[in-house]
Amino acid sequence: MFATGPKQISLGVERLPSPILRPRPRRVLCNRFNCAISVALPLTIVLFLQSFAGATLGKPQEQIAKVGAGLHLEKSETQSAHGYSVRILSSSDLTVKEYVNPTTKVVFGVTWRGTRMPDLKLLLGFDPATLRQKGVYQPLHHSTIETPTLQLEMGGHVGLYLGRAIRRDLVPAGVDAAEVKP
Amino acid sequence: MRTRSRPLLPAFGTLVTLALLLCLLSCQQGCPVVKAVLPNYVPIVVGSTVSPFTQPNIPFVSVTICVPNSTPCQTIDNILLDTASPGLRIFKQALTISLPAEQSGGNPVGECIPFAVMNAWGSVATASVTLGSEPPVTVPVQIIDSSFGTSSPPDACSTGDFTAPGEMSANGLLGVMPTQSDSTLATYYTCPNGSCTSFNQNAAQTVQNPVFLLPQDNNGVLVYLDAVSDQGVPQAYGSLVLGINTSANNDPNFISSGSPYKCLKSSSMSFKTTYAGQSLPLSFVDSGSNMLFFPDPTLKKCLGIFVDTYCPSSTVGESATATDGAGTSAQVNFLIGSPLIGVGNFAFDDLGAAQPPLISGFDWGLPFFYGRSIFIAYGSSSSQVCGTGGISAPEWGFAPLPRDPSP
Repeated sequence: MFATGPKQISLGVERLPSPILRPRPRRVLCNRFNCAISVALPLTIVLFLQSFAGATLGKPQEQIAKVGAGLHLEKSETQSAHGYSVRILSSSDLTVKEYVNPTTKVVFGVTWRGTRMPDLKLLLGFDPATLRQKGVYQPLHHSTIETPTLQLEMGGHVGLYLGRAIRRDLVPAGVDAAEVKP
Repeated sequence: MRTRSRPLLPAFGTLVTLALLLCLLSCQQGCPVVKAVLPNYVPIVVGSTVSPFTQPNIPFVSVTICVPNSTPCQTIDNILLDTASPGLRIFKQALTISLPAEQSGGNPVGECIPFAVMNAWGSVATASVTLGSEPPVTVPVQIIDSSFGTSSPPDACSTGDFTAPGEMSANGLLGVMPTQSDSTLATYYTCPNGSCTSFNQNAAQTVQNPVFLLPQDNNGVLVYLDAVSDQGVPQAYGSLVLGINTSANNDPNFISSGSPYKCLKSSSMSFKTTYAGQSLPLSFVDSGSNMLFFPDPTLKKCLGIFVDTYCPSSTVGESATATDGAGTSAQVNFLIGSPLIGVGNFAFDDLGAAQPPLISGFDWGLPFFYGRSIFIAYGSSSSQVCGTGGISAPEWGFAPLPRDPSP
């Protein structure tokens, strides 16, 4: 659902580097909608400091089984692709894919798709809500968050949920991050 | 007596004349003809001047809620009309009356419903809900309250929960999608001492789209918004009309004023949209999105806070084709302009933003509704808009040149 101002507040950290250094409101950007714009809080810094038990993104692949159990995903299979492997965890209503770097054995990408929304704190290992500013308008159905190391896209509507999170700094050499998709 | 009152007559006549003149001067399209307001009519306003909410393209309705079969009551303004979710959800901060909490086994009931990015978490209460001038219906509603429960909200609602009305730019939302209960879309919890555990709630006690419970006018809705100019306008008006073909103001033939309907049927919310050579199967009609969300790498995007919003240097005309599972197609023409124009306006028919490509959908948000009448038929045989023979699945029909159904 929704869009505009606050949506972008939560986005483009990479594309808006200066507000991180100077997180004061940028009045020049206020226009017809509103001025709830202390653009891009110094959020990303907090991002990777928070960690939740069982998280997989950016973590060793041993964590995957724990997350699968926590998300009630009974089925598991592994597929190999050129330059990486994918662990596919699923139940009747949710499929989660974990993209693993074969050299480092670290998860560099996570996707979800289902009629049930996963617990993102558990799946990602951080709280995506910390990337948004509290109290200001948020799109219900659409979100793209980019930082120098993270690409996080979420979308869908009630009853259909899709998303992906990619640690760009951990993608194996020669692998196109766009191959990570739900 | 007569002689004493006589001198008043010329004065009275002058007053009436003056009033008529004023009226004629003030209403450019002729003086309003007083018509009966049908009970199934609920006015919609986009961009209320008295609203504390400042986002563009939020369609507001008012809803009256009461303690069931009793008092007190409260009329809550600035409720977002959402065609893509079922049920009434109200921020705790907007409530001034205390509704009886729903209980299971003596414990309060909580609910989590994810909207894909933001989630609504809170308790469930029972209310008498009045839509328009329809008879009140008693229905479970959600009270959006991120502080409900003593422990962190479980599962999907562990993150991304609405905490304040400003995050929705509304006091709550009224979901009128063609589904009665949210039982398959939400997770219910019993919360003894605030610690919540999921359980299977009976459908009758789940949050429900109140339109389904009306004694009449319960087979669908019509959403109409006035056309707006491309630069946007400060306010736009429209109608939520309850029921389909149950009275004069929701007769599909009358509303379409003779132009053929474009119709899509889908038992889920999704249908396919083809746009710029892309096939987007997860498309849906959504008054709760304030822009059209779709992928187009060739459209220039805005900078700054509007990153991801399309910003063409001049307004461009676009076209897409929507197709349902039966192969019925409908072409939709739309405009995309820059959101950086029209300061002070809140209703725009040309706002678009990039949809992350992985979603592979076209979200037909509020700009799609301006200048159209959109029927959402709930799938009963009485609510047919398109064709003949009755319908078994929900149906979206839209008239491109509609009559205004408001009184």
